[in-house]
Order: sequence, then structure tokens, then C-alpha cells
Amino acid sequence: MAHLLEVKNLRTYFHTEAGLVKAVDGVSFHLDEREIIGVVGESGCGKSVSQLSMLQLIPTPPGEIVSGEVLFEEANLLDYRQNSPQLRAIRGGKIGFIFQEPMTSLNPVLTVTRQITEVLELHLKMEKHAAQSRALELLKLVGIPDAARRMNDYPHQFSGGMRQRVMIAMALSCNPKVLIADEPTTAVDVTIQAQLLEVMKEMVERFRSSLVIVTHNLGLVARYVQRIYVMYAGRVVESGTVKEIFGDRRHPYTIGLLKSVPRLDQTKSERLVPIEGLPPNQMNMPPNCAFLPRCPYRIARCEREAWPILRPAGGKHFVACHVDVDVKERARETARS
Amino acid sequence: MQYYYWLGGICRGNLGRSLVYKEDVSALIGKRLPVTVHLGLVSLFISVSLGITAGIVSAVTRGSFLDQLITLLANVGVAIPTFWLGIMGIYFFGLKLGWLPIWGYTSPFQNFWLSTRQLVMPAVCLAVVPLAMMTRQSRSSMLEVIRQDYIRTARSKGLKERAVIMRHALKNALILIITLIGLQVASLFSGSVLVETVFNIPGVGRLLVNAVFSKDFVVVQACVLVVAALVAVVNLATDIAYGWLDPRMRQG
Ligand SMILES: Nc1ncnc2c1ncn2[C@@H]1O[C@H](COP(=O)(O)OP(=O)(O)O)[C@@H](O)[C@H]1O
Ligand SMILES: [Mg+2]
Repeated sequence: MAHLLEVKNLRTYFHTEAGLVKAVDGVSFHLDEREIIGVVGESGCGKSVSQLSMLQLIPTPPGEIVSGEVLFEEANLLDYRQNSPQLRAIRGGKIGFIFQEPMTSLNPVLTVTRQITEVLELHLKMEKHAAQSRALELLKLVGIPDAARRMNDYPHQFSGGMRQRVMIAMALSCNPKVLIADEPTTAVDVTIQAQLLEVMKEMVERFRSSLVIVTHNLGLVARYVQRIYVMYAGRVVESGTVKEIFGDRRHPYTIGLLKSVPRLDQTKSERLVPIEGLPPNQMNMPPNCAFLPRCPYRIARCEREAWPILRPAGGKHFVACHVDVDVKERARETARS
Repeated sequence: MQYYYWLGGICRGNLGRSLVYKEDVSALIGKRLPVTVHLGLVSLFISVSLGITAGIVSAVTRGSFLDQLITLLANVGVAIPTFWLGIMGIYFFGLKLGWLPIWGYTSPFQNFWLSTRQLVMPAVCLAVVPLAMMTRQSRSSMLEVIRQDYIRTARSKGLKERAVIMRHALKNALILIITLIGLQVASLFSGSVLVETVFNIPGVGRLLVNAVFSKDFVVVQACVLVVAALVAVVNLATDIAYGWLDPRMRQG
């Protein structure tokens, strides 16, 4: 069966004054009907750019989508011109976006209702009055308290969490097939994060949409997503179901990522171990594995050969690594105990 | 002590008596102020409306030939001496082509057509530098707004570029631009001193120049006071405009 959304070999580069930045360099992923997936990786690894590129929302220049396909409803979205009517019909209509910073991502001079009604008027051809009552309904659905009284308020009159709820209402207003949430909880309090994820999950279930949650916090989203893509330096280095990634992680980066993430089921004695070293400079990258300088499992082959491609590791599990870490890690764990 | 007499006088609407004209300064200024305000408003209208339009067009078509042309003209415009521009205007349109009268001022209530013809050249000359400044600043304000996150959000909703600019960017850019309009009024007045002299217009600017040359300090003082009051009024107007444009200002 064809996937709802499939991205193939996407490459997005930025031509900056300092040089060429290969922000996304050959990323493939897919999303099925009513599925929730996570895209995880450190800051700067190309998560946002990969998502924005799908709808050509990156600034050009300096950005350039060099190659790839974005297959959605039997069309390749990259065939459309940047502001073509076909692409605009999909933006906000069939694929909705939620951005990281709810303060700066909502327009400060328009009321929250206006920012929702304009999408309804545009895609669903609703007239003003109908759009307003629909907007109020949506605000109630995402849990804005006292929504009727607050619908004509401006973004600055809401707290961070409430603004993000407004964003959710806005992104889902036209009942899109796909909702992309780019670090939706990064800018809010820890206590609010789980609430927002709950609201999102509830909403995509109600609207029968699929959801992509982009995050640098693997632990936070684990219980909401079905599959996970782990990105490093502009590529996917490991992907699989939650069970595969948590139970049988293979890539040294994923292993490090999980050690550095606090989890609810963790006992206090297990210390958090941040990954050593810095994320790579995505300019003038060497041809071999970008994680090599930070990798505790590296072998001679990693130095010699090009960045490994994703290879199947059973089930839906894929991993891009020369080393069979699983064996080594097991050996280590045994040695430790 | 004199200063207190002067202050007391102002409170009673008495600006003193001119040393040269032997006339009440209030009356002197009262006759000339409408002239300067007329000239200033027309110039302000030209520079603000054209400047904002050109700046926004330039920003939206960033990097295009049009943008480069507008930027070039604005850079030249900022550097043109108003005085020289006035003389050139008089020479070409007044003397060579004979299209426009070269001097004088008539009240628009007296003879609207003559008044307008007389005002075209001075108002345009006076507007050039502020227009160029306005264009540059509108362009940079708009570029600043366009790269904000909420513009990306607007695009992600599928809005047409036109709606993105007109509904989402423009008002935010105007908030930045409004500040500059207030600042321009002060510089507009210093320009009008030159323009009124070149075109022989009986406004406050020329009165000030004459008063300075004839050491008529009572009049100088009064003129400066009037200008300061005008600037204060404009600042008040911009503050009101702020509150109207920016909801964050409304409830402090
Ligand atoms: N507008 C831009 N100009 C230049 N470089 C950019 C731009 N946007 C993103 N990048 C670069 O692309 C890379 C990936 O960025 P991004 O996708 O935002 O990372 P993240 O995974 O944190 O979302 C980064 O190295 C960043 O510097
Ligand atoms: Mg990001």
C-alpha cells in the first residue's frame, strides 16, 4: 500500500557566506494514514529544514532544494513552484504546521480568532460568520479556558502553553491529513509539555490525521509515537518502531541519545550521560561517517569508507553504521556488571 | 528674570514684541505658521506615502532590478542638498520650461490652483531627502518583518503572497516605520528653512532666518518654541498611531 506521505532522498543546501551547508543530505521517510512518528536529533541536525522543505517553506536564497521527491496524494510536491496555487492548497489545507516558538510564530497584531478564520475562509471557503463560530469551537476543543470571552484577544495576552494550543487549533482548522509539529513543546514549561502532547494526540485522533512530532527529546515523545527517525548531521542514521529503537538500538548515536535523555522509568542510580563532543559543522563535511569523531565504537573501516547507507536490521528497523554495535554493547554491559 | 517674564507671557498667549517688525510676535507667527504647516504637510504626505510604498515594493522584490533601482535612487536622494535641488528646479521648470512659478505663496483658500502650482516645487524639493530616508527605512523595516517566524506561519497556512504581505507583514512594518515619521518632522522643519528662503515663501522658516540675521532674538525664541510645540504634537500623534496599530501597547 502506498504511504500517505513519502519523502525520498531529500537534499536541501544553504548557500551561506561562510560556505555550503548541507542541512539535509539525502533524507527519506514516510508516514502512513493515522500514524504518529517522531523525528529526533540534536539541534541543528536538519529536522526543521527537512520538514519545511516538503512544502518549500525554506527561504530561497540562501536555501535550495537540490534533489528529492515528496510524494503526497499521487503528486510530487517538489514539482510545484514555490508559491503555486497547487502547493498553497496543500499548505494549511492538507498539511498543517505547528512551530516551535508560539510567541514569535503567531502574528502579534492579529487576534487569535482572525489567525484561525483566515485559514477557514481560504481553504474551506467559509464566510466570516461561520468561520468565527468554527474558530471558537476549535479554541474550545484545544482547551482554551473561557474561549468565548478570549477569542478576540491577541497572542501576547496568552501564556506560552495557551498560545501553542491556539497554534494547534489553527493548524488543524481545515482538518488536514498531516500535522507537522516542529518542536512544539520546546519553548514551554516541563509541566505544560505533556499536556500539549496530550492535546495534540487527542486532536489528531479526533480529526483522523497523521502526525509528525519533531523533537530533540526522545524520552518525551516515546509514548506518543509509533515509529522514530533518528537524524544526525542532515541524515537519518536509524529508524524503526519505538520498540525497535528503545529495545534494540543499534546506532552509536541513538545509544548516546538515549543515555542523555531523562526518562520516567529510570531509577535515580542510572546517571545521565551526555554524548561527548560537539555536533559536526555541516560545512565541508568529510565523506566518511559524521559521527566518527564522537563515536566510542569506531573501527578502522569507519575511517576508510564513506558514510554508510541505511541497511535493514529486521522488521521496520534500519540503521546506518558499519559496526555491529549490538554485540559490542552487550559485551560492554557484561564487562561492567 | 527676563525669562520668567517671557514664560509668563507665553502662558497668556503673548510671545513678546519683535524688535525689528515692531509687531506682536504672536501675530507675526500666526500669519506664517499656516504657510509652513501647509508646505510641511504636503511634503510629509509625499515622503511618507511614496517612501513607504517604494520601500515595501523594494523589500518584497528584494534583489530584483526594481529593488536595485529604488535603492540606488534612495541613496542618491539622501545625499542631495535641498538648496541645490531648489535652485535646479527654479532654473529648469521655472525659467527654462516656464511650467511653474518660481516663487511666492498663495493661500489655497484664496486661489487653489495658483497655490498648488506655487507649492509643487518647494514641496517636492523639501520632500526629497525625507522621501529617500523613508524609502530606505521602510525597506529595512519590511525586510526585518519578512524574516519573522509569523510570516513563515502565514505562508505555511497557504496564504497568497499578497495576503502575507498586506495582512501579516504591513502592519508590523508600519509599527517600526511610525517611529521614523516622528523623527522626520523635525528634519522637515530644518529643510523648510532652506526651501522657504530659496522659493521666497513667507513661512516660519524664513521668518526665523531673517530674525537670526537681524538679531531679532524675541522672534527667534518664539519660532523655536513653535517648532518644539509642533514636534511635540507630532510625537503625540505617533503615540496614538502606535496604540492603534500595536495591540501590545493598548493595555501597557
Ligand atoms: N536560513 C538559513 N540559512 C542558513 N543556514 C540555515 C538556515 N536555516 C537552517 N540552516 C542550517 O541548516 C542546518 C539545519 O537546521 P535545522 O533544520 O533548523 O536544525 P534543527 O534540527 O535544529 O531543526 C543548521 O546547520 C542550520 O545552520
Ligand atoms: Mg528546528
